Amino acid sequence: MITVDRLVIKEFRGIRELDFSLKSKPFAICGPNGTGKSGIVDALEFVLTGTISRLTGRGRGDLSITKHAPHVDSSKNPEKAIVEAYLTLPGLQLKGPVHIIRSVKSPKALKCSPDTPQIRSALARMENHPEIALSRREIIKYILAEPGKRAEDVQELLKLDSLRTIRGNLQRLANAADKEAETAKRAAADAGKDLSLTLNVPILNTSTLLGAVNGHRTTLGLDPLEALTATTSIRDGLATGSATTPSLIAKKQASEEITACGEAAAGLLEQAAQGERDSAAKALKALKADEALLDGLKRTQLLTLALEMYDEEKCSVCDTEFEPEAFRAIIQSKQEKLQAVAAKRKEAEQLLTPVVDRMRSVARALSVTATYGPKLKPAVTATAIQDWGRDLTAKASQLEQFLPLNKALEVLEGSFEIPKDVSIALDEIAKAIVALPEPSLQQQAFDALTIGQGKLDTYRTMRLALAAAESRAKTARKVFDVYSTSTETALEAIYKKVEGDFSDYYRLLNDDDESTFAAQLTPSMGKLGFGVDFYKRGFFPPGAYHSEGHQDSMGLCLYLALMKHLQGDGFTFAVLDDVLMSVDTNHRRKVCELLKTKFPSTQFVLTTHDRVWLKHMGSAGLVDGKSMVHFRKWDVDHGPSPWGTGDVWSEIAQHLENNDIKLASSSLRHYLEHLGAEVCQALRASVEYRGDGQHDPAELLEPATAEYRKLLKKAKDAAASWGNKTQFATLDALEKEYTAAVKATKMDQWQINAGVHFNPWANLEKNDFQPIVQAFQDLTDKLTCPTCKDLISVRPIKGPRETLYCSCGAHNFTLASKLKTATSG
Amino acid sequence: MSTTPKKIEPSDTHSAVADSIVGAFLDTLAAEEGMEAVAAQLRQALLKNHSYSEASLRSALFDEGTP
Repeated sequence: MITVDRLVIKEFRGIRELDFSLKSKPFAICGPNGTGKSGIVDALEFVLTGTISRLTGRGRGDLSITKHAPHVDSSKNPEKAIVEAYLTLPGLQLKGPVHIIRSVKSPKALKCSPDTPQIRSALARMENHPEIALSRREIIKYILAEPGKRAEDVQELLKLDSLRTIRGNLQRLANAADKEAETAKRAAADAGKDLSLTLNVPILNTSTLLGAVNGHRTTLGLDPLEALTATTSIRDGLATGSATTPSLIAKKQASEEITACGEAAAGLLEQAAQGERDSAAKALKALKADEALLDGLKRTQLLTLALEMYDEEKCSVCDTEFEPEAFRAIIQSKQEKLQAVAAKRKEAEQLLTPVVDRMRSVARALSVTATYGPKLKPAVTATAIQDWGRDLTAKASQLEQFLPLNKALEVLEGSFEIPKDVSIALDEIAKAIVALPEPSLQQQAFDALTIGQGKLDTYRTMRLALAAAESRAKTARKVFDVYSTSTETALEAIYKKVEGDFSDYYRLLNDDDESTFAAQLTPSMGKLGFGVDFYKRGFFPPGAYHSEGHQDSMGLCLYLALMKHLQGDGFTFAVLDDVLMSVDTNHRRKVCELLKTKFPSTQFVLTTHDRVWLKHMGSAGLVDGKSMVHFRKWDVDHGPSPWGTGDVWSEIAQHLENNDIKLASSSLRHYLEHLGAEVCQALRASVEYRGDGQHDPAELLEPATAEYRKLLKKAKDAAASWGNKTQFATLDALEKEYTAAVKATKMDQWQINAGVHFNPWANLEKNDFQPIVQAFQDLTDKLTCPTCKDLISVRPIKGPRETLYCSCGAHNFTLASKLKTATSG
Repeated sequence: MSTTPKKIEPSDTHSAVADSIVGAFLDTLAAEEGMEAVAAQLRQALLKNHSYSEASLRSALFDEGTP
């Protein structure tokens, strides 16, 4: 939990030097466009998070913090651009505020005092929440985004992007484990075939295997095995019980293997095999037109990135300008096309599987057969057999690789005839083996058990590997399935809560005409649909029928609901940068009520260019009179200038010194407009109503000065009624001084009257204008407490006027006279 | 005033919402038959180390030790 007590900004953005006391309370910043409000927002974001989204967000091109965060005159000296904040961290029970400093030169190096792991930890949590600063543009994106983008944006705000990363990796692991299990299954099947061939067991199972083994053992005079367990040796007793030695080539096994090899090779030319290849080739040809889309992963990543980088104006890839809806429609169409092509690719890969299996099976048989060549006497050259085996393996790999399609099609449509030299070599080996002397029955049995043991060992190893691979695949798939279901359920629950809070907040803002409002957040397949009730006519997208003002307030409500869920009690600070410009007067009061009642522990910093909105925040009690700053102007040399007194008079004096009466008169007139409005507000003076809210200075100043005179008189009467002579004397003196000050401003009636209405001051000489300035400065002093510099005000702000006061208490005069008691008799 | 940032614990910089969702997933997984050990390994990777890489998850899933 963090709130800001004080903010000091130096040479940062458009600001030269500013020092604000925020007192850990809601704070309002008001000023016309271009007076420096956003600079303060940037400063708060920068000091708390180390970043400035206005400079680093999507579509910011070549902007950077180091280059563009310093004031333009300090761009070469980023070390001068510094933001300091004094923070309250109530959860840590500290004795005083925590002072933090961040320099643009090293945005990530936060200095802090005191510096403890607990404080660093709290600051790191804040750094992890750049969403504390929110502009209208950002707030509205949750409302108007298309469902897929909204899901991304909302999950990014809730910091749920890690869930997507985890899901993607778990899915990849599950898919890879499935493939590994498939490979292990093929290897185990191959090992089983080898074992079957060696022991001449057409159907491999424990019983048939045991029967075959015991047949050979009986031939050798060995005891039959009672059972075949995972560790049983079928050669048990052979080493000591027999004088037979293994054949260099076991004729029977070799003959069977060569026969099997020939059959497998011939099988490539059978109709069934050709049919498999034709079907696969047809599927591949159907994909030719979309081959460029087949590299789905990279393309999906590119489209996702393009969407993320889109700045609502130009495509970040090609710089073409697009309307937002059109751009998103194009990307969505491409994504859908990618999904369709990916599904076709999967079908084609399934058709390729039996083709690949056949080729690998032949390659394995060729490899086994080739081993007999060198063992024969005379040796038979098996190079051609080995080469064809390697060629088939390479072609199978090409098919598995899938792309490029041309290469895969070349394989499928190529020749599967047995090469002539291979055929010759196979014949030579077969003949040489046939020519081998017939082994005795004992020798055959010995060879079968000896070679069979090796094959059985391999088979057992492959079966174990298969069991492990299947177990891993099962585990990975189970974990992925549980993760998918669990996170989907959790996200649905989150969206349900957010939906409830959102509707609650929105109803609070619009209880006048949408008191039964409801909303629906519907997550589905990575998208987040958002429907809002429109006067009981059904649920529609927020942009369909609701006004911009309603959309603005929906954006705020959704943001607040999400932040409540994201940070819970830790949601103690947020900057709302001009987020409600389309919301009307009545609903702004409701916004104040919402922020006050639903987020009493959150320090909001609100910016607006609308002084009426500023007054609403004050009168609704969202911010107090001291917790606001109102800028009157900005210039590049001095930065923003808040409304005050001293700086205005210094500025006018400087203009007079320069003999620039035009500027001096403009400043004075501008200030009197502001002062008139402020005094009328403070004293509750009556002003002629104007629908456009525009008043000349005289239209405000005259009722304001008249009201103060009436109030002083009323306070004097009250003091007299209570017999408070001291207060009466004080008020009497104030009244006399005030009357003289007012009179002084009217010393040259033609100048003043003409001046306030037609502004001809600019044509005056310096000596003529100087006394006017002095008169108004004196009048301002009389309306202001000399101690606290507050305007003297009336309390309360509604109902019977009770007190004339200032915030320091130096002015505290009752306006209520003592009631006269009836005389007896 | 210190000028050197001290090391921050990983849990300080991660979303409590995401962590709670992952925590609920791990609880569900642990309740599945034969998945208790895998859930414990994943808990270490995802919630203690905040390591979401494919290598870390593979190691946790298949008990391959530190990748």
